Amino acid sequence: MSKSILSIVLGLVFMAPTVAQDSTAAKKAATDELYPLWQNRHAIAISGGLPGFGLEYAYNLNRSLNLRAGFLAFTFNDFNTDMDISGQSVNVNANLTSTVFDLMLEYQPSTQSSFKLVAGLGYLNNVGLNTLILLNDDIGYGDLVIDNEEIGDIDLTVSWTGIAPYMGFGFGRAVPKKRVGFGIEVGTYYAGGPNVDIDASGMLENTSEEEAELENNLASYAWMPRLMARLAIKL
Amino acid sequence: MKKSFLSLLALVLITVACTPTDDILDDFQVHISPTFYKYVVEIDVEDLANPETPINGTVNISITGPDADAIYNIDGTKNFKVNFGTLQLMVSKDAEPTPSNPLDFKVRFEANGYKRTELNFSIAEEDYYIADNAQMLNLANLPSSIGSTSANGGIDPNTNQLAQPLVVNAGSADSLAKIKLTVPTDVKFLDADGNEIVGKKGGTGLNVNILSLSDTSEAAQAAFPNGTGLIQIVQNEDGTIDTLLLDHAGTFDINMDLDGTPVRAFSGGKTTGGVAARIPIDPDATNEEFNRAYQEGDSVSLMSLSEGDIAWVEDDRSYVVKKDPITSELYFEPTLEHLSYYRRKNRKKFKPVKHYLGVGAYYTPGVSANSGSISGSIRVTYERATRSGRVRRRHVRLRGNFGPDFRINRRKRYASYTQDVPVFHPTSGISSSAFNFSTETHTIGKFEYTVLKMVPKNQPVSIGYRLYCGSSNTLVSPPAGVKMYYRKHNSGAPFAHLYTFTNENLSTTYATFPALEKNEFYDFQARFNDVQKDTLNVQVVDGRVYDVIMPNRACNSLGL
Repeated sequence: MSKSILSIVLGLVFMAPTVAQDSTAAKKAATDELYPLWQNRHAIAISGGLPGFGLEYAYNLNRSLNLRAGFLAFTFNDFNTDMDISGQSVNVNANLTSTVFDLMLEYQPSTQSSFKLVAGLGYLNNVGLNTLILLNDDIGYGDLVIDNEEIGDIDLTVSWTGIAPYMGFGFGRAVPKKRVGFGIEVGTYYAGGPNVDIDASGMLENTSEEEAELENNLASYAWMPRLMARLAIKL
Repeated sequence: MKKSFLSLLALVLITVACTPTDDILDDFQVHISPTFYKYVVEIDVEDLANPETPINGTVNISITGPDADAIYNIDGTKNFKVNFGTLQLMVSKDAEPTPSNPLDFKVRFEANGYKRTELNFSIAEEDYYIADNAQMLNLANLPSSIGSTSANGGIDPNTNQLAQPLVVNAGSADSLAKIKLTVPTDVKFLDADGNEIVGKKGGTGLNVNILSLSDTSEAAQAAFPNGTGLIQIVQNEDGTIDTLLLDHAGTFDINMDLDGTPVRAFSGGKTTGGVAARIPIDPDATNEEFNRAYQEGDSVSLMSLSEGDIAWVEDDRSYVVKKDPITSELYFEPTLEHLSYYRRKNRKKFKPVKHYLGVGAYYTPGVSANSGSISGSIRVTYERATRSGRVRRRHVRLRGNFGPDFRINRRKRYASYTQDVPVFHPTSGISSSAFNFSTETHTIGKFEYTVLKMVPKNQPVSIGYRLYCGSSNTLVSPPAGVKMYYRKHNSGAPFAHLYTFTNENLSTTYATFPALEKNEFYDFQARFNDVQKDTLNVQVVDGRVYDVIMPNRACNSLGL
């Protein structure tokens, strides 16, 4: 009786790997059947959103991990408007620039879903805003007129530069299963507080001394959001 | 579980990407340095005999001269006003002086009961701050060294000449400047254009006024034309011009008007169109040609300064010194052909040696940083004993900001026929209790300067000032012309002048103030044009910058 039970147990033990191997192989076969094109691991993509528009290259490391490198850029120059500040009409000319280089790793927890978690590093190359503020009107002083050029202007630049860690999440594989894939992603860079540069001229020249104060006030603006849509093409 | 974790992570990411907005401009202030003007002229207007006494009534001010258009009141208007005893002027930026083109103008001060005072200014490039005093002579309160004599003569309407000779005896109360004027009946009176003045029916006739200056006192010297004391511009025989520190002699300002029309010259008369004068010579005066007292038979001459002229002119003639047989008084009798200031000088052909002198001052705190400058007034006297033992003094005044280089500080230079050693008397904020004084000699060109060196006794405290306009949250660097006054808190003392901000120190954050003691409490007063702001009970801490809250009116004037 005991010989029979032992034989059955030993048999089950030696048969288990065979059974497991058979299960893994079956799964692989099923997956291969579902995703025959994953054997091509390279893809390029165009993307757009915040903080710009650009190109990406992605490489599929395995079924769960994709590595991608990208470049995003955005420029908006000569936004011009008049504003009222403390009762004075001023002209504001703004320029927005953004240049970002990314190196990211995507993790997809499930092969059956395109949900992904993303982490990586971005290099921010002078991402920021430049504004030039100038009085619109001359100022009268007694019988004299002080023209606005003599009063001067304030050239204010707020920018982030340097390496910034990133994390985010989204949907859409960097290397799509099929020939073309679409994705969206939401995340944030930790860029640290921005650099502030104040270049003032004329009678306003000493306003440059407020650089440190403004930098201190903006120190909490360390997180830079990212909201992207991308269209990937498998190579 | 996995799905729950991922959802939570997503929520965290969204949260940290949207940082709460701070008040970005919290404590951010705009700084303004009013540089739309650089050049400031500051003139303290005071009673000549009693500087601490304010001028009675309104002082009317007019600016004339080739560059008058470039000159404004410190508030940018053409309404020239004395505020807190000071007239502050500024130069519009589009008319600033250039290296070859200084700005020349005259400032005239007139007030009822006071002799008209005029000051000439020449602002060269980088003369950012010029300070001076306009000392107005109260004709109802003359010091003993100044006399004012008036007389009147009736005019024959048929001839426009005096009905009778008019004799005017004038002189200072100390009798050191005396003159006797005799206007004959055969003299016609001419106006500034050389035209004969026609008398009016029922008019006042010929009015004569003679101001006699014995110039032995500082007050009499201050009454000299152009407000420059004994430093006067003199035209030499060859036409060249010298700035001369005059020697002592009686000086007379002779004015006449016929029925209100100013008389400038004469025509006709026995002595070729002139008015006879008899001018005694002070017995203590020295004939520099022979280095002795004057004697009968010596020769003297006359020099005059007419209204509108820049320089004193030497008379063409010399006059013989005579002796009164009764009084033994020495005198000479010139003929006056026109009206102006007159004074005796050496005989025409005697050319004494001129010594080219100058005075200046500088401040050196002995520490390298933030040396800045100090504001104040320095009197300089040239003293000489007469043969009788009296001390005669010639007074020169320096006023302004004194930094470490005397060459760019306020200084004066002139020729002088004598080479007395100057004595310095600092006043107005530069006292011997706070400073050590010494003198040095420096030569610049042909001028030998005696320079006062001022070193604080203790290491001076350095503090800075800014003006704050609350309505616009703006800090304003004190514009050129802002004056700071101080006194010790609870002292009951009057405010004393501490400092004047000029274009040269606008960018200086700190300045040193030897008059202030560290950690002591003071009351400060800022003045600019007609605005005055007191800040009381302030502890002076070395290295601190003080924000003075300005009245809205002052801020509004700057568009803030």
